Amino acid sequence: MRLFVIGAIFVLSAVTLVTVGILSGGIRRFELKDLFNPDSGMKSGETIVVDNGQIVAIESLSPNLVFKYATEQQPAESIRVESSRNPPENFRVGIGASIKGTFDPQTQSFKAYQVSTNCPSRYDPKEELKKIDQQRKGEGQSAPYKPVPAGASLPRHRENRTVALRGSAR
Amino acid sequence: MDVLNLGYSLLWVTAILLVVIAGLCLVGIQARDRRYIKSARVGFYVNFILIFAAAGTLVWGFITGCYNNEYIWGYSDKDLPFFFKFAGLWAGLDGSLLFWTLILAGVSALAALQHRWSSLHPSGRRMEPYVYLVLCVIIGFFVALAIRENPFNAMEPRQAIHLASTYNIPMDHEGNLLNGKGLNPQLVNYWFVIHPPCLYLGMVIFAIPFSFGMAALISGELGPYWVRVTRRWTMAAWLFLTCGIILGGLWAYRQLGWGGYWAWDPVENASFLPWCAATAFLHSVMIQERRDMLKRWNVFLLIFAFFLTIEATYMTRSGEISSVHSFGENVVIGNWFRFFKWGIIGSGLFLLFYRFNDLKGNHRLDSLLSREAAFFFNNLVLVVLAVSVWALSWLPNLSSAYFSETWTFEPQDFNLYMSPLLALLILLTAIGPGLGWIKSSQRSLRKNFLVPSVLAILLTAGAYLIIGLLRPDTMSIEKVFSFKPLSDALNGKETEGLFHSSGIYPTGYFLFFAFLIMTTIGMELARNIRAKSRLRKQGLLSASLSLLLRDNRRYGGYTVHIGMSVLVIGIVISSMFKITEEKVSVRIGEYARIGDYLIHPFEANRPYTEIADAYSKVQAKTHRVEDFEEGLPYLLDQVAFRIYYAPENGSGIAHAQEAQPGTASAAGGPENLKSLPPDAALVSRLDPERRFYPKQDQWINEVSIHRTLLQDVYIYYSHRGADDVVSLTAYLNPFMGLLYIGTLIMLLGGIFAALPFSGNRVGLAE
Repeated sequence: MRLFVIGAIFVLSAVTLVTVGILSGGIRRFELKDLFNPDSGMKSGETIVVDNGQIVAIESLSPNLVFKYATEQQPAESIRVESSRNPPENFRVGIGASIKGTFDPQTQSFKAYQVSTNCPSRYDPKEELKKIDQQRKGEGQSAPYKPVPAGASLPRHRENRTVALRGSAR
Repeated sequence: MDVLNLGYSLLWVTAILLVVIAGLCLVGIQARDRRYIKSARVGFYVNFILIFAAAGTLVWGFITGCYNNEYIWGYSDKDLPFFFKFAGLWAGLDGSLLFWTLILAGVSALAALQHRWSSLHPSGRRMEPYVYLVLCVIIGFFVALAIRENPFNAMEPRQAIHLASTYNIPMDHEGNLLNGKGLNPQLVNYWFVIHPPCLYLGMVIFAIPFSFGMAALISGELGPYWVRVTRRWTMAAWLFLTCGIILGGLWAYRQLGWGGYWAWDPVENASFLPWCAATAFLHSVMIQERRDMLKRWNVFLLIFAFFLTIEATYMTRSGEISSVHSFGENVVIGNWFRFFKWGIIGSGLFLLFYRFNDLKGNHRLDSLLSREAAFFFNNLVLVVLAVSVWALSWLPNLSSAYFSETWTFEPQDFNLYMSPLLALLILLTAIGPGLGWIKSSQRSLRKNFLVPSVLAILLTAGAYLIIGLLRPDTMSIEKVFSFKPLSDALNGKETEGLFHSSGIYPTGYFLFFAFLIMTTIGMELARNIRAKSRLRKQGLLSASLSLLLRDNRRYGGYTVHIGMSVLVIGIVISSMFKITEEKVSVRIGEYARIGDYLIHPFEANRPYTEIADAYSKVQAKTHRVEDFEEGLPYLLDQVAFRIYYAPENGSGIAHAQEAQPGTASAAGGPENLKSLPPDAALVSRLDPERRFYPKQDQWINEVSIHRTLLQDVYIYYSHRGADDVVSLTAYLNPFMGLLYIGTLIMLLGGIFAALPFSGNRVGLAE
């Protein structure tokens, strides 16, 4: 019973700590369409996360990172994102990204403290093959195949280049 | 492709074999005939050989280049070095499930082999068929998953033709693709060959202690035997898991370019969950062995640990949790895992309550100042830590489901709220070994803690002296003792710019606790060696050796604690005294300052216009061999830097700052030096680079690090402009070497503790 009481007190304190953490530290995640909705419940100056969009145009990389951000389905409904950070890895047009910061509905601009691009390790070849099937069903015909002679316009691989560089003079 | 079909067929044969093994076990139990059980034992060896052969066919496909296979096409190409073709087995979801099954079959065969000896023990003999039955269910689940996901699947000819056209891949006359899409360039890294197998081993081995625990509950063999067997298996799982987690962190540090090693990403958290449960079990099982207490709790921890490994697999593979490095979304697998994990916890808890009265302990907690109380609190902290991290990782899904709002918990908030629990854990690690079993008197407390505390204070002061000499700019009294930054952070005063959360917590307490771990253990060891030396009239060296070998489990555990304290010191110093320059813009030929160093980009591999031109051609798919550097499969943009050590005269370096919105320095900053100061000393050359892989349509940044024991100079090259202004992020990370040293000590300690010396016998030796 003694152990039980001590354990219960401890667990309660930890639950309180985590709850306080969520209430004070949790950041609300919105979808891009919510930013255009005045009833979304977003407070002025609130730090939020938006992660269902992709980069549709890059205005500048430096001194400030400025780009247009929209969903794949609604490319016209874009917002302007500005960040003082360097662009993250694999930052390019067409890649999904997550942005964290504050949104100004007046200017439709987002001041991002953090920009992260989606990791391509989520790539699944099955998905690509499914898409091919869907595309072909939509088109109703097969894409013509142009035979490519082996190694014609493709660069050759330098054996173990990646590994060799890592172990080199660094 | 026939060989790959054979691999798929072997999976089906395995599934049938598992049914046969389960049947043999049931008949053996019913007929009380050991011959059936022994046949089932052999069945596990055959099972391993079959799955090994199935996985071997897939590896064979990778090596010989069967690119008409969906999986092989997606994760390899003909130019991939051999080891990465081999590692293709676990590069994607389908293959990783097969790899998981293979490891599970391997450790199950080992568990079966162990029964050749442990079945001589009466409890071992009675538990054996139940262990096999539970293992059959677990392996059966993973074999079914591997069959369902089928990494052996060949693509249809029209799909192959489409891919050949899209990716410019040649085909032979029979319609076979002659190349693959290639492995994700991020994964072409030697860490990828080591880290996942290590982590998988750690996760999978938990199936064995779980099976023993369940077998004990089903058979009613609840004596000390099963605890001892499961402890060693859990130790092995814990070792691999620890190694896998830390290797993953170090890989992230080396590869991902954000200068850190742990970001509380859900996938990272997933591996941390079973680690917490396993660590708790390894401690509480000692209370059961010594004091015959906490039996129910130990069974619960075993169930909980295995549940968390399945939960971790579910979090990584279902796609339900948004993470930078989870696999793609797979609803079917998600449903299967959900069913399986609730099945595990449900059946486990049912059996626990079924045997509830039989698991009653014979002793009670006598005093809060006892070793068992410290272990019990350590258990509570670890379980609460696991549950908190689990809940916070699921926060977006939970909040969305129950509160119609989606909340996320950012890494700095994890640091903020998990650090007190971690600090408490370190404190308990420090005081636990110094407390006696049952009760500690005031005299023994004074004897065990007074001198170690004084020594720990001195060591902490020494650490600050070194940091002060190395980094006078990052030292402040607030970072050592004050809780004011924490209260500010809690009140939201600094949270906006608080990306790294460095400096929220007073480091003094963490370092003191970590040094206290070392000094309490050191004192105890010194006292025991001296006592043994006097008693046996031995020299100090031979007394030390015989002491360590006689009680290797205890001293191995202490070594793990020392490794942990080194790791904690490394983590605290490297994260709280780091210097971060989020955005440095420096023209080639100029010198930018970070801390005591000058960073000097002095040449690029190619002019910017050439890179931009080649990139445009790649985008338009009109590039040729000569657009890349000779022999490279990617477009290379590399800048060479010289790093000079040139401390600024006077105090305070204005460059050390956390990134704040709107604090970007101007391009090619006027504050950069145009010439090298006369007293600057060259320390290293760094070559960070960016690569564009056309086949994957992916940019990869390769960081470059100048490593020393005291400090890492870390450069992430972001991009450069037409005016040759280079944008980069630079970090000075102090004492990163301690992370490697601490990890090594922990592993050595864990291995030493698991060795079968006299203090660690199991089975017949009882």
